[in-house]
Amino acid sequence: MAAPLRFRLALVFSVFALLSLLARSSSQDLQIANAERRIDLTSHIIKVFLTLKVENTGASPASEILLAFPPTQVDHLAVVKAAATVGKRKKKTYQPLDVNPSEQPDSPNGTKYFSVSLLKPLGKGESVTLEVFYILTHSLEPFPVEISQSESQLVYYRDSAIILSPYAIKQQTTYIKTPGTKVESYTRVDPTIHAGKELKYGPYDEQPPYSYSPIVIHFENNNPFAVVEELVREVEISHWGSIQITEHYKLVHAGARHKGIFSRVEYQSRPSISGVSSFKHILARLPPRVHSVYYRDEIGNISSSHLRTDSRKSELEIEPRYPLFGGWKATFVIGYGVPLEDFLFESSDGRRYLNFTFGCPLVETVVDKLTVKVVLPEGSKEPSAVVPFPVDQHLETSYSYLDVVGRTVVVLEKKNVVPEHSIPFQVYYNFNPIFMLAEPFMLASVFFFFFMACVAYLHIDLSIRK
Amino acid sequence: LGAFYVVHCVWAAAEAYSAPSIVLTSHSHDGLHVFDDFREAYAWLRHNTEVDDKVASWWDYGYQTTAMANRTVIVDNNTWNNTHIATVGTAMSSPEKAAWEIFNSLDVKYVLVVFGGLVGYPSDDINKFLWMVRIGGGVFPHIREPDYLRDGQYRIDSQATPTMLNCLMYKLSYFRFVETDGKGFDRVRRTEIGKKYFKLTHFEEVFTTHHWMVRIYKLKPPKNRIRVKK
Repeated sequence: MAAPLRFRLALVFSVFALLSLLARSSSQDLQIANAERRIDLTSHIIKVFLTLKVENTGASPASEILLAFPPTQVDHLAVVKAAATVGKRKKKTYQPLDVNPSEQPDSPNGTKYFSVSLLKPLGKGESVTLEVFYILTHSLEPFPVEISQSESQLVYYRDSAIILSPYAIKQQTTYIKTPGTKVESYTRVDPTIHAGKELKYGPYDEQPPYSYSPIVIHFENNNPFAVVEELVREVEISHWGSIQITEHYKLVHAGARHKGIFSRVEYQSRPSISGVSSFKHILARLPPRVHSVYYRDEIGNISSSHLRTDSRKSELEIEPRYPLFGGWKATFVIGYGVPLEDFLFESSDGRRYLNFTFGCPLVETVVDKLTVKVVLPEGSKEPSAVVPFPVDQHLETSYSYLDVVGRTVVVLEKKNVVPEHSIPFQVYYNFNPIFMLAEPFMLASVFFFFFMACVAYLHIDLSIRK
Repeated sequence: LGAFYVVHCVWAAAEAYSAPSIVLTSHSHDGLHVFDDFREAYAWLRHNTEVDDKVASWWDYGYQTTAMANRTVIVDNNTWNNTHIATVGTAMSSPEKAAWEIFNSLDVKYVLVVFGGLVGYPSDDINKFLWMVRIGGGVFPHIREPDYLRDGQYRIDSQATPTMLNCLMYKLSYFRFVETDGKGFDRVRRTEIGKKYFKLTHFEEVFTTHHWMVRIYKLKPPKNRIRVKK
């Protein structure tokens, strides 16, 4: 008995030692040999592509890699994705990895972390190349804050020339792409080169962990700053053959505010210098085979829209009643119907599920608060939603035509939604097909009883005298 | 024959009996043009002005402004107070400074005028101007109709009277209108306008709709320092 006991003790001790080693192998044992960051500032949705070649210089394998962000940037992060590169050159493939926000003790200056979970742990001396992609919204600050109709829009972008990381970086370069060649000013952190539409910061060698060198770039960006402050999408499923979608938008131009006069004659006669940062068209991508599309607001139908359909997609180009200048708002409703067979399926365990696209159909827009309401038919039970990214969920009941108990509504809410969130999500529910007869049965029985009552009234003799 | 009757009725109802006067249409060789300027202006007011801002216009547009733009108006279609209507009429017929004083005393922020000269819409405020003069003159004696008439007619071309060319309605309708075609040809009155190049001193243009049918101006705030003539 003593031998197995001692064996078990030794096992426990070695596991404990290994665990403690793993816990300490977070920051100091990993090193980034090469980092390349490309920041795309062409639109108001900032896309950053980070290529990191991570080496394990420690003694124990590492199963996760930490990404660090300054606290000001973390509030505006909409998406963080990572993938591991496998293979070289022509045979490169990318394996997507899980990225989750992570809390680390003693983070300097309130740095926030995301941890990338590797598919197989990185052994001692091994290296892996990670491709990280993240999106920042509301991070271009217009300056001047107010502009007139004939001025161009200039914005500030604040970041660091040196990539913030809990690991030491041996060599790194950052490339920043601006929409035009006009850059009013930029912070020089040598070596810095500005050529055409690209700013190159680097290469910088041997940077210790948590190095940070703040830079500010002041440049011209006239691409439309279309922000939807609030979007409510109602997806109503009807088993009689179609899904009706109604979307309520509150759109605003989130760039430099418009001050002073608006001269229509200048806007129409000199479009190249007048209202360059304003926009008057927005494109909405709708599913194919869409029907009964309408575009209206509180005071009626808006006739300025074009619908182009083909077999794979539909595009609705909407033109709000007036062009949007900085700070101007517009609210409207877009509604359409799609055939049921495109989106409702039956899963292997007998439950039905709706496979629909999350997100906002408008291209290149940020939605500050998105609410998706999936209205399930009456008689649906046990609804549940499967969404590929974190959302707030709750259930509601709504009442519609011929409803007795009410329809269950699955409500999904998310803040800071960008076009990368337009990916499918599923809502599962149980539905007994006999419930489809409930409505026609109700209607038929009401008429039946009414006619029976008429027949009875005409044939029953209610007179007192014989 | 019955089927043709149905088709004919639907066509007649769509083409001849469905003319909402707020959305105008015209057929041209390249299709149907829709003039939705009124709703464009009301939607702009609804979303891009403060909730308590007051809009002054001729009383014909009062109800539409209240309902669609959701803003307070000075006179609307059911105003019974003739003096109040005459106040607005006088303001429209006065020179800029006097008009500003009247509107400022009513706490007005925006002035709305309807102008059909660019597209040929005949029911605009210049054609209704004679009523502004007559109603205003009926209450305020300094507005005299003969001041605006040349040979018994209201003119806005080079033969117009100086009072007419200086009144607020003329200025707000034709501000920078000459820049559209270089000559300032008014399609409703069928003549070039009299005063083509002028600046506004007490008002600023904040919105004009796509076909220039509705023009919205804002009252400029008073100057901080007033020069006293010695």
